[in-house]
Amino acid sequence: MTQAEIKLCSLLLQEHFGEIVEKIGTYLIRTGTQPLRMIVNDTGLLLDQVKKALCVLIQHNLVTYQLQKRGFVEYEAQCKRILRILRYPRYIYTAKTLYNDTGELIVEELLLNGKMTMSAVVRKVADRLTETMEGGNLLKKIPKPKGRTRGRQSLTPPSLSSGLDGKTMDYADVSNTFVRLADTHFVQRCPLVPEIPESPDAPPPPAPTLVINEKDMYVVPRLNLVGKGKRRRSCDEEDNGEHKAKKQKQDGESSEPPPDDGIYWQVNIDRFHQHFRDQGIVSAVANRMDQIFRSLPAGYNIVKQVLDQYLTLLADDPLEFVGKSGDSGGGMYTVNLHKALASLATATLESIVEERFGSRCARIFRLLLRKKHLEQKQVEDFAMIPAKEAKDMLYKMLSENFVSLQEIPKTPDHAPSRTFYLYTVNVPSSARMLLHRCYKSVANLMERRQYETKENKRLLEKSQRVEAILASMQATGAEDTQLQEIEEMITAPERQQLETLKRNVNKIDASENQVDETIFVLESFIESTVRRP
Amino acid sequence: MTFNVEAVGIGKGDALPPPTLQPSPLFPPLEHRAAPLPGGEEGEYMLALKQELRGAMKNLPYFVKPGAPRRDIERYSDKYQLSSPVDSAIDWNPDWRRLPRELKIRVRRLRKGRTTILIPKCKQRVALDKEETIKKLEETDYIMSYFDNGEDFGADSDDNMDEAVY
Repeated sequence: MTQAEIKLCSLLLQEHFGEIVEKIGTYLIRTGTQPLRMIVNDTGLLLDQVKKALCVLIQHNLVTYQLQKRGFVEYEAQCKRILRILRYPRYIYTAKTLYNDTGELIVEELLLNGKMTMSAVVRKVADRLTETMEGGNLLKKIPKPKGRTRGRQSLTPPSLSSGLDGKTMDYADVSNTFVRLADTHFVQRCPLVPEIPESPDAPPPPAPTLVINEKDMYVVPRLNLVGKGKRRRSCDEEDNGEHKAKKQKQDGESSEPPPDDGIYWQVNIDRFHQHFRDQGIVSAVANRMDQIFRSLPAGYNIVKQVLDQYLTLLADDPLEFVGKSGDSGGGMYTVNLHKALASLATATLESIVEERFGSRCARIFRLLLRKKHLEQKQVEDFAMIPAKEAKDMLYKMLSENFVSLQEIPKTPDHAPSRTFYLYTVNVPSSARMLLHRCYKSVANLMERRQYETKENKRLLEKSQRVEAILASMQATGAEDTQLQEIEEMITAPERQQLETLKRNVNKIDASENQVDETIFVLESFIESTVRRP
Repeated sequence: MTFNVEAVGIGKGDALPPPTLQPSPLFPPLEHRAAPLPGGEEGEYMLALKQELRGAMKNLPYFVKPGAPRRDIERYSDKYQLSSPVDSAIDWNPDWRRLPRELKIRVRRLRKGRTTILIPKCKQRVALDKEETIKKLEETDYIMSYFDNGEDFGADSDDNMDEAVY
């Protein structure tokens, strides 16, 4: 774990779970596997704080525990998994593209809560979807709760049951989407508490050893979930707690355990990564074969010969994404994943060199990629760049580790005048260097964003207060003049300041998302070099 | 010089490098501006998602806030104040069967005879907390605002000077 990764993990934990959880998470990342009392001793936090934090971290699959032979429990942080918090928006958005709003909310709920039972997910998602549906409160026009609607485009759920107070979402539809997500492995079952027969003599173990059978991982329990999503009666945040509790008791939710008690589900991150990887490869090939793809007839009525031609073209393409092995049965075509990932990573490197150093450097870089090893003089000749400039560019790239020097001595004494110095690009090593820089970048972005927000804290709080007042006044039907009065509580320069802040924070957030895309490409490539195919 | 200058790379007769009078600039000069961020619907949506998630998580019980700072003097009104989540309480109900026993926290009972209800969702717990608070309110004879122990005096900012001061 590099310092950059640790720093980024800390920031992510702090932003999403608070400082107490962050402190414990960071401690475990730095020191490795630890038992509870060590954590308490070394972090200086209270025992209950540590317990709470560990519960949260375990719930969210960020920390795992293991029962040691000597009977005590040790906790281990999953650093890579913590870094994935950065990718949550991408997972949720992908679910939306594949399975619409229902799929989106299912994945979102699972990510927000770490693990949930299917019945809990279905109920929660149905409620949320019902909230955003049309229809609604008969009594008064309530402004939509801020932020949660996210500008949802026209929702076309398969079946709308119109209750007295507007449309609601049926549990069956949410269930169906859940099953589809499970079938396609985007969600998976969590390991289970083993069913041990009750032995009165032996005390229960200090910690359960959770197990899961491969074949059970995507098995959906037989549930008979009948019902519809519930809409909150009033949109006010200060809901009548008593009223709500009464409603819940009526539903009988709190009386018995749900039928799928103990069967928890989580998001299958690896499956999403597979999807991203496939997406990346397909779009890369599509870009390449743009002309061909555009001329493909609608529908897949491709004649065999035409298909053969396309496949041959793909196989012969220097990108080497598609390989052909043998000719039996017309030949077997495979997608060479490792080569594909390498190409994507290399393209990323090229693009970064171009943006950071300019197009001439990029030309040299691409030259080195193609020719593998070149002497200084050869670089100047092939790239058609004057010696002084070429030298300057090579040194600049060398200093930032995009290219490296290979020494080939002519004589055993390694005298510099009698040694070949060859420039080369070591793609895996450059990729690793760049990945490290990405982690640092995101950490810097987050810190800057937090700083900007902190600087304007007072103004932000004031603006939120004014918004709240406005909302409640609108709800009680205030006049325009009164509303205007409240709005004027924020002066014009303050408004300007808020606008600037919002623009900056948005830019930084968008940048973080962007860097994570690069992180994904580089990590996928590096992983594929480590794993022997 | 107290050491051999040639070791550092300054040859005989070479001028010494100019003295450094100020710290080096904070940021290196930027030769090429960064490419603009890709906009588009996907980017916009993911941005909104990211910010919403951040906001949402701050309000979930998984966001562990430090307990209320210890007051300097114990006051009578403390008993009747709305207590923020205490360190020893946990606002959601994890499935204790899945966790090591040593992590189990004794939930502090605010009222006698309240049975623990196993609820997988955390949001319901929040609603129950509200119910508890309201029931607690019903218990007391006095209304909340009666007990002002004076600690908030002077803390409010005097932003809005439009209000008349009597």
